[in-house]
Amino acid sequence: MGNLLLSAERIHKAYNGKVVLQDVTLQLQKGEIYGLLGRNGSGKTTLFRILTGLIPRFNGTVSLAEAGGRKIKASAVINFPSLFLNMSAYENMKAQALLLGIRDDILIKQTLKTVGLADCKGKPAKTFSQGMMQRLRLGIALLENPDILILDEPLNGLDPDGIAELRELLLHLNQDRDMTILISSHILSELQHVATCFGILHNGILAKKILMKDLLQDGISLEAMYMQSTRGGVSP
Amino acid sequence: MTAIWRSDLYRLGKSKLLYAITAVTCCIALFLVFLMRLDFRLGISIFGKLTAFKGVHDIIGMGLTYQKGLGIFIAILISVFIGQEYQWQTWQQKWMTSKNHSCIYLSKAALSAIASVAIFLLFQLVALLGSGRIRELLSLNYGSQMISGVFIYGALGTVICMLAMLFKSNTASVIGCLGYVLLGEMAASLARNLSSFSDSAATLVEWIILHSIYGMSTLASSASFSSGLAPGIIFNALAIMLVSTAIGLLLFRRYEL
Repeated sequence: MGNLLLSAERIHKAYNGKVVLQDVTLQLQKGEIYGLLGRNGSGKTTLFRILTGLIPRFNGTVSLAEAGGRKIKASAVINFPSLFLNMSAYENMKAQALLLGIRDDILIKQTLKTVGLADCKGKPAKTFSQGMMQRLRLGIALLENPDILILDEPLNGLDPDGIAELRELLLHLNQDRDMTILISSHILSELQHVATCFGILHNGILAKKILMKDLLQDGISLEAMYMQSTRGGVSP
Repeated sequence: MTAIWRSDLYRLGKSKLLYAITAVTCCIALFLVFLMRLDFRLGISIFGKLTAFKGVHDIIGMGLTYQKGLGIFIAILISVFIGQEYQWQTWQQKWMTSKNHSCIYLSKAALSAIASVAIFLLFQLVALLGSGRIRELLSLNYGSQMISGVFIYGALGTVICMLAMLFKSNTASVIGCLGYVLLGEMAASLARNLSSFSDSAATLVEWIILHSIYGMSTLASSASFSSGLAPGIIFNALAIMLVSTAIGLLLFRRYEL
């Protein structure tokens, strides 16, 4: 397989003449938790939509690696709520499982257990808290056992307990199930706890990759690095 | 496409609205048939147009005339079913899995047509069985009427699907689809009045009305219907299904999430 799972080269996207992404190049290595930082409107969601095929018209290339004759699988949690709120957790998962051609009910139940929703599988999703909805979205994304998990601001709207639970779950998926994760957020303190490397997206331009271990070695905080990049201007 | 279809079918099967509409349809059919058997005569006025139920043939005719009841239920069912995908942004699951907008649309269109036909047939079956006059009703004309009705309601389902996909919003699609069902007769009447200034315009408008879903349903439910008219209705309905699906496909493929 090699280490490179996903490669996005010179992604350029504009809406009505306004450039949203400018020559963004991003590479995802196996086993990474890549934290994409950027303030609101910096282009994070647009980039994720391009990476997942939700936006088909753009300039540049996105390619997924191959392994053992099959393409690397990527799942994502991007838009909200992206759940059928009138259906239960189990029913939402079942609808997605059918979409994937999965008929194994045991897999659905196991996935619900993984995301901590085994006890409320029968409750309609509209009664869920933000944290529970987020876990359900994650469960839906995990159904096909992806190699890459792409999460767009999964921490938004969560209380401290919800954030801690999600953090534990992501670390478990990365360390125990060898899942590579691409996660965006503007909550720097939380990303610092999970990510192994970072990219800063500012006004559609992506700065170079910053490794967490380099930050620690240089004694620079993520916040300081972020402020330096965005106030000083980001150069790719 | 099979996977998308299975997922949509599963979701429709979990819809409480479907079961509510099914129950209401059966109740209305039973209620009307019950009144007929007790020799009660009923008249219902919708937008000033009176429909008198003098016999079971009028109940059968009501089922064929979508704007008198069944069309309203079908419009609500399909527009809510599709509108929820926009409201809750659940398209992305299908997009990311299949990346084929055509299959996504065709699944919805097929399901809409089938749901529409199913509600029509349910009403007719309950009315037929409840009337207790099965032998009398089962004639060549009745069979031709039912087959015509199947295709008319199939076309109605695909048109409402197209409209719901175009509106891209739950509330707007319900209002728009209901408007299409309820105001069809008014629109036809208006078109006739406006075209009366010219013979050729009047002929063209009359041709369009005759070949519209409204025109076909009026013809199929009229006393002058004969089995010879059925092939023309079927062909016309199929053409409407194809055209509405093609238009819907074309516009949906341009939709960017």
